[in-house]
Amino acid sequence: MNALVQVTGLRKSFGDNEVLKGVDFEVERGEVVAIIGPSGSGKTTILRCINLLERPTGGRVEVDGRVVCEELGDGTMRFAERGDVREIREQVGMVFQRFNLFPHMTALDNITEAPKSVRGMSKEDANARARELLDSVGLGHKADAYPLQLSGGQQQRVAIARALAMEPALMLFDEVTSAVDPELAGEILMVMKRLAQQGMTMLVVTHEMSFAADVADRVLFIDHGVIVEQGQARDVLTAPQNPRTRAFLHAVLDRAPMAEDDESTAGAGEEAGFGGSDLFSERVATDPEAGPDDG
Amino acid sequence: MEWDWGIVGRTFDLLLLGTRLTLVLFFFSSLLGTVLGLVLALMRMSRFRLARWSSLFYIWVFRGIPVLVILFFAFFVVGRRMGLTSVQAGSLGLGFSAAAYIAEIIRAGIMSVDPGQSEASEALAMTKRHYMRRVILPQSIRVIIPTYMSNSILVLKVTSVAVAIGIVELTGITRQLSNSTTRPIELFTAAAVLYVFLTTVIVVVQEVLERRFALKT
Repeated sequence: MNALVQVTGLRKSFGDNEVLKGVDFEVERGEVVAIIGPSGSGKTTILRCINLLERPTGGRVEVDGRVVCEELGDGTMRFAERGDVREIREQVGMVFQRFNLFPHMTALDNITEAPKSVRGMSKEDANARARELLDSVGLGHKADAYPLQLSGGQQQRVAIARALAMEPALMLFDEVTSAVDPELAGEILMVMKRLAQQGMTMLVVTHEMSFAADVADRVLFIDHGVIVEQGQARDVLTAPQNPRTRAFLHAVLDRAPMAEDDESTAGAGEEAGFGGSDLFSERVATDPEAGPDDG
Repeated sequence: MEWDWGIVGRTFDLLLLGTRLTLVLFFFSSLLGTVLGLVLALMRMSRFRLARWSSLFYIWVFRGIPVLVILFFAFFVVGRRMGLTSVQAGSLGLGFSAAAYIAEIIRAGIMSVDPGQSEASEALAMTKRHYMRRVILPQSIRVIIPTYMSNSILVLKVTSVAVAIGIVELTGITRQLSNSTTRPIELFTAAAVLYVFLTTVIVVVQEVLERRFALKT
């Protein structure tokens, strides 16, 4: 079977500024791929090109066998039709750095809005599914809370539930812990780790090196709009071949060295963690390693 | 000169009749202005160039012409041709004028909503039509209310211009009464108080709406 995501020669310019200069990679079904790299290297733009929040200026993107965009022989771009774009987007969930929850809707309504309107789900079914999802991210008791009444970590978990409610084949995570307080990042990473264990295909832009090492199957290191190095997560992160990767990892890990057998984001909230939310929050609070400082 | 505030009491029924007409003009011009303003605002943000340009053209023209001139057009040109009453023609003219300003107020409100909101909606495969209605417009209302209500106060007061096409609303009736009674100071003071009362109602409504649409924190 073909890879779920196929990106070939992807280029994107904003005016004269070429952010992506020809990026090639694939994501297999069930695979977790982490994209790391310095800020401004084009990581986020790659994600946004996959669901056409940005329109690539060159190359080809395919999701689940459907062409999102392709460069024609004469160098012009052809994009999927509007209806097709929506069908592709139904397959691709996205979680944003700044959550982008709808502040005028409760957590529950945030989750049910798209299933109801896009998939034509009945209100009862959508609500029931949304409650399941809220339970699964440890927020069953916050269904009626408004986003601004929640912490950053809770908002981001609602946002993950919102994306999952569309039952996507692929999840895109765009630096989802960067806008939350460090001590709350752990609860988001746990949700993501569990999702990965359930077999979700994930493309994760992240600065959490220990998460990448622990959860990702493969790591892509991007710098200045090209993939400088890619491979098995352990290989890239612990034995980088390229000097730029080495310099980057050195700079990042210098602040908080990554132990070879790091279990920090791995340990917490695994077995029973998400069932009861009280237990869940207690674990986060008392687990000194649940923060992101480990990476 | 002696004051005669009793004149206000003796003519109060007529002043209220004028006030009623002022409110009729205000209601219909606000209604027309808001509906048309919303359409114009959405057209200005459309992906179709023709829609954007027509909206821009409308706003340019109707903001450029004095309300009084628009009113004369509505009365002498449109009203006469279509056989409208002066109140109908007046509401039309005032509404067309208000729409240009309301369109810009609504557009500003829509633009104030974080672009992340439409991105999240797009990523969830919603149609633009759907998320404008369910996500963007409800959030823009919070920002629109203060400016819109401030503009409503202007719309209310500018109905007094309708006196020029023979509509005997509050200002018109007051002028007629002061001509026939030689008590302009007392009568115009009464009219001013009535106008302030009406604008106060708008301010109170604004307060209520702002609370209703405040984000739950």
